[in-house]
Amino acid sequence: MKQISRAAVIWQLAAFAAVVIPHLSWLPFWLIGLCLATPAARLMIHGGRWSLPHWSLKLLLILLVAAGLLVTFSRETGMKATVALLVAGLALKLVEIYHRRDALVLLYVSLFVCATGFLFHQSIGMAIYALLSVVVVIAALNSIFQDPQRTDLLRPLKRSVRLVALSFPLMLVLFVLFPRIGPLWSVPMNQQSAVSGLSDTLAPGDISQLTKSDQLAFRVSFDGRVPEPAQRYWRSLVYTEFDGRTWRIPPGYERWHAEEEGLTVQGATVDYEVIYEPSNRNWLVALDQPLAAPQGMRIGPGHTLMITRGADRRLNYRLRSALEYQLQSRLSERERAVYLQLPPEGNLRSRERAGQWWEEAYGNPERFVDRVLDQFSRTFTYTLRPPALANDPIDGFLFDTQQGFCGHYAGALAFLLRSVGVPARVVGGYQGGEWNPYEQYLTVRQYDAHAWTEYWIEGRGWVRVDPTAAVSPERIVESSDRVFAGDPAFLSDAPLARLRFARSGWLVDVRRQLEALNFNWHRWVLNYQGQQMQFLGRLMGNVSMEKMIVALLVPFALVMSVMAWTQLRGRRSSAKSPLERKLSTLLEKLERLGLPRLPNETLQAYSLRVGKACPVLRDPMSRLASCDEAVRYAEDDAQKSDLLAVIHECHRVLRSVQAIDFEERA
Amino acid sequence: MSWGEALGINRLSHKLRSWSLRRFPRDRTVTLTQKRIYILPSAAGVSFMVLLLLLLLLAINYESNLTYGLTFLLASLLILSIIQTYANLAGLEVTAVSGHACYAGDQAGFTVELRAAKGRDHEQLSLRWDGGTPRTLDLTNQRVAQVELSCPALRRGWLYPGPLKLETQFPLGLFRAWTWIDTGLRALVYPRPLACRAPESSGGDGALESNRVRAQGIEDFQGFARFESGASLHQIAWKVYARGQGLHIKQYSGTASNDVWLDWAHWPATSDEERLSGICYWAIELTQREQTFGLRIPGCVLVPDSGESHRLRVMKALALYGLEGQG
Repeated sequence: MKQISRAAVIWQLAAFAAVVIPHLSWLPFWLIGLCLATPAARLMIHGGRWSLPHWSLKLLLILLVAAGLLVTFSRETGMKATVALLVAGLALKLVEIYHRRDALVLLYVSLFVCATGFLFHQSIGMAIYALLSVVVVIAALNSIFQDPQRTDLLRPLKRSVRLVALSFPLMLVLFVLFPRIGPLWSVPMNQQSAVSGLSDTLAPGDISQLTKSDQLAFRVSFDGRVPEPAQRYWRSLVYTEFDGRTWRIPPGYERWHAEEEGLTVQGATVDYEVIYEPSNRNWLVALDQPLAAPQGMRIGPGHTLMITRGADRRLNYRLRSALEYQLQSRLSERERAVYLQLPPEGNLRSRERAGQWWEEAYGNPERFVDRVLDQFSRTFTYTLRPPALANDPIDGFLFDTQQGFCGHYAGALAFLLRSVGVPARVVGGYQGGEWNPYEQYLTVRQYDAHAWTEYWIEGRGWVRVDPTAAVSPERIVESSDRVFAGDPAFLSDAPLARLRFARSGWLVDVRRQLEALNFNWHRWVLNYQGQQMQFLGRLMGNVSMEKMIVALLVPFALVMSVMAWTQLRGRRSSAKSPLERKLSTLLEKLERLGLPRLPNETLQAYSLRVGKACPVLRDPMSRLASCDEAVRYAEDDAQKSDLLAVIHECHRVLRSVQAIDFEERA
Repeated sequence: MSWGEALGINRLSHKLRSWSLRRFPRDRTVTLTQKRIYILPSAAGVSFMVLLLLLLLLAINYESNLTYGLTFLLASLLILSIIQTYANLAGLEVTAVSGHACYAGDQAGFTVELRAAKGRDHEQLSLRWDGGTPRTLDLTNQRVAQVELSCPALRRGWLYPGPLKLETQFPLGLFRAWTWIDTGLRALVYPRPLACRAPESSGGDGALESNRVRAQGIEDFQGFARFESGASLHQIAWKVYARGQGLHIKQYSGTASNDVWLDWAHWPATSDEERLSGICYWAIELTQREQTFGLRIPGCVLVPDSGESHRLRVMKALALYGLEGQG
C-alpha cells in the first residue's frame, strides 16, 4: 500500500473537478454542494487543519448521499442516475484518498464520468474540454507514479501533455478504421428531453408555435444537383382525418403499405444525405417524393419516411427522391373514403361556398383549386399571429378573419376540396432551409415547418398545391427568417437568435462559417458511422477484410515506430554551432574506439593522451587542441576555418586507422 | 501478490527467471536491452483495460463517436505506455560494484551503480534482491548513481544475494517492466560476535594466561611513555593530560611481549558456532585494545599480529571456517 504524495493529492482534486464540471448543468443542487464540500474538506486535511474522517462520519455521509440519490432519481434508471451515482461516489472517495489504490479508483471512475459527458453535450467545445480533462486525469495518474519527493506541480502536466499528444495520431487511426456496429442492447436516451418538431395532429395554430423556435431540425447535403428553393418540400407527415377543427392521423393508418401506392418517376432524381436531429418521434423527413427507404426505416402511407423506433438520437441517412413523379394513379374504395372523410356537420358556409366554386369550375378540380387560390391571394393575409377562431374555424377563417398561417390555408383548402368530392389531404413537413455556401449544405430549422395540401386527380395521382404560395409567394422562395424578420412573434422563444439574422456584412459570413464547421463536426465526427463505409471506400476502393487489416497495421506500425523513436532517441543535445557539432562527433568517434574524454579533462590533456595511444593522431590532435583554444579564448575567428580543417583531418586519419585495423583483423 | 499466487503466476515467474538468467552470462556491467527486459500489464493496467472495455460498450450502445474517440485515445495511451515503460529501463547500464561484509543477523550491503542511457531520463527505478526491500531512485539530474542495497545475512560465510531485480512502472503504472541480473556480487558474513569470558588456561600457556587477565580487566600497569602520533586514543592517559602534564600513553606489561592466542582447542566446547562467535568477539575486542593476537583454529593458523587488516583476515578465517569448499 503506497501512500500518495502531497502533490498527487492536489492532482486528484484537479482531475475530479475537471470531469465533474460538464455535469454541473444538470446535477441536483445538493450533489453540486457535495462536489464543492468534499474537495474543500480534502484541502483542509491536506493543509493539516483537519484529520482524515472517522469511519462513522464516512458511513453517515454514504447513507445520506444514498438517501439523496434514491429520492432524487427514484423515477428514472437512465444514464443520469448512473452518472449522478458515480459523481457522488467520486466526491466521497475524494475525502479519503490516501493510498495509491484509492487514487487509481478515483481516476478510472473519473475517466468514465468524462466519457458520459458526451451523452449530454457533443459540441466541438465539449470535445476540446474533454481532451483537456483527459490531460488532467493522465497528469494525476502520472503524479501518483512519480517520485513522491517531487513537489513541482507542473511536471506531471508536462509529461501528460506529451503523452496525450503522442497518442493522438494512433487515436485518429483507430477512430477512422475501427468498425462501427449497432447497439448491442437498447439503452434509454434523452428520457426527459421534450419531443420536438411536428406533432401527429395539426390544429390551426400549431405550426406558428414552431416558428418561435430556431432549433435545428435537420441538415442536408446533396450529391450533385441541388433543388431550387421552390422545390424544397420536405414531407414528414400526412394528416387525413378532420374533426371540424384539427387534422390528425387516423388510428391504423400507419400500418398501410406505401408499396401499394405506386410511384412513377418522371424526371431526374436527387441524391442527398440527411442528418436528422433527435426528435423522439418516429417520422423523419424526405424530399418530395422518396424512392426507397434506407435500412431500418420504411416508407409509410402518404409516402412519408418512418422509423420503427423513435428517433431518440441523431440519425444519418441517404435517400433518393423524385422531384417530378406520378403517385398513386388509382385509389381504392377504402382509400377514397379516407381521403374524403369530413365531419357530418359544421362549417356550413364553407361547404356552400365550395359548392358554388365547384360549379364555376365546371367540376374540374384544377380550376377549382385555381379559383380558391385566386381568392386567397386577393383578400387574405399571411401572419404568424392569426386571431383566435371559435366554432366552425374554417368558416371563421374563410369569411371573417381571413388571416392565417400555412396550417390554416392548407387545412381550409383540403376541407374545400373534400366537400366537393375531391380526395385531399394535408401534408406536414418543412419547406426551404438556409443554404450554407461554405460547406454546400442546407440547414432546416423548426421555424421552417410548413403545411401544404395534396389532392388526387384520376389518372394523375396526387398533386401538390401550396396555398401559402398564393398568399405569400416569398415564403416559398426565401427562407422564413427573411420573411418574418420584422414579426415580433418570430423566434420569440429565442430572442438571442434574432441577433444572428444580420442581413449582410461580415457577421453573416462568420456565422455561416461557424455553422459550416459545426456541420462538418456533425457529419464527420458525431455521425462518422454514417460516413465510414463511404469514406473508407473512397480511400481504398472496395473495402475488404484484408485491406482493413493492412490499413490498420500500416499506420499503426508507423505511429508506433515514431513513438518508439521519440522515446529512445533521448534528448537532442542543446543547440550548438556547426563547428561544435563537428567537434563533438569526432569526440564520440574516439569514444567508440575506446578513448573517451574524461569529464574533467581539458582538450589539451586529452589530445596528449590520444596521441600516446595512437601515434598517427598525435600531430593533428595537438593542433586541434591549440586551434580550439585560440577560437575559444582568443576569440580569433580566423582560426575557425583552421579548426574545421584540423577536425576534418582527424576524421580522415581515423578512417585510415580503422581501415588498417580492419585489415589486420581480417 | 495474492492473485498471482492463485493463478500460479509466481511459479511461472520463477521458471522465467531461471531461464532468463541462464541466457545471459554473469557480467560485472550489464546494459539493458530488449533481450532481457520483460514487460507485462500491472494490476492497474488490467483494470485500465476493463475500463476501456466498458467505455467501448458505452460508445457502441449509445452510438457516440466522441466516446469512441475517448476510448481510442486511452487505448493509444495504454499502447504508448508500453513503449514508455520499456524505454524507462532500456539502455540503462547496471554495474555490480561491491558487497560489504557484515555480521550474521545483520543486513549485508551491496553497492550497485546505475548509469543512464545517453541523454535520457530514467525515473522510479526500483531495485531489490529476491525477498529484499526495494530501493527506488530517479536518474534525472545525474547520469550515474550508486545504490546501496541490503540483504539479510542469516548465516556466516559468503552471502550470495541472488539475482538483482530491476523494475519500473513509470510513467502511468499501467505496465511493469523488469529484468533480472546475475550480478555475481557476494558479501562476507562474519559470525555474530557474542560477549563471553575468555576460557581458563588449561596448560602453562602464557597466551591464555594473559587472555584471562584481559578478560578480567586487571592489567599490569607499567608506566607512562610520551605520546607519539599514531598511538591509539584508548591508550592515552587522559587523567594525566587533564592535570596539564601533556599527552602520555599508558603502558601495560605484555602488550608487546606476551602474544595472545585465540585458540580453538582451548575454547569451551559448547558448539562450533558459539565458539566462533566468542572468538570473533575477542578478535574485535583485542583489536580495539591494540593487542597483538594470533588465531589458531582447525585448518588455519594466523601468526600474532595487530591492526585492522589482521582483524579482517582473522574474521574472514572465522567466517569461512568449515565452509572452504563453498565459493
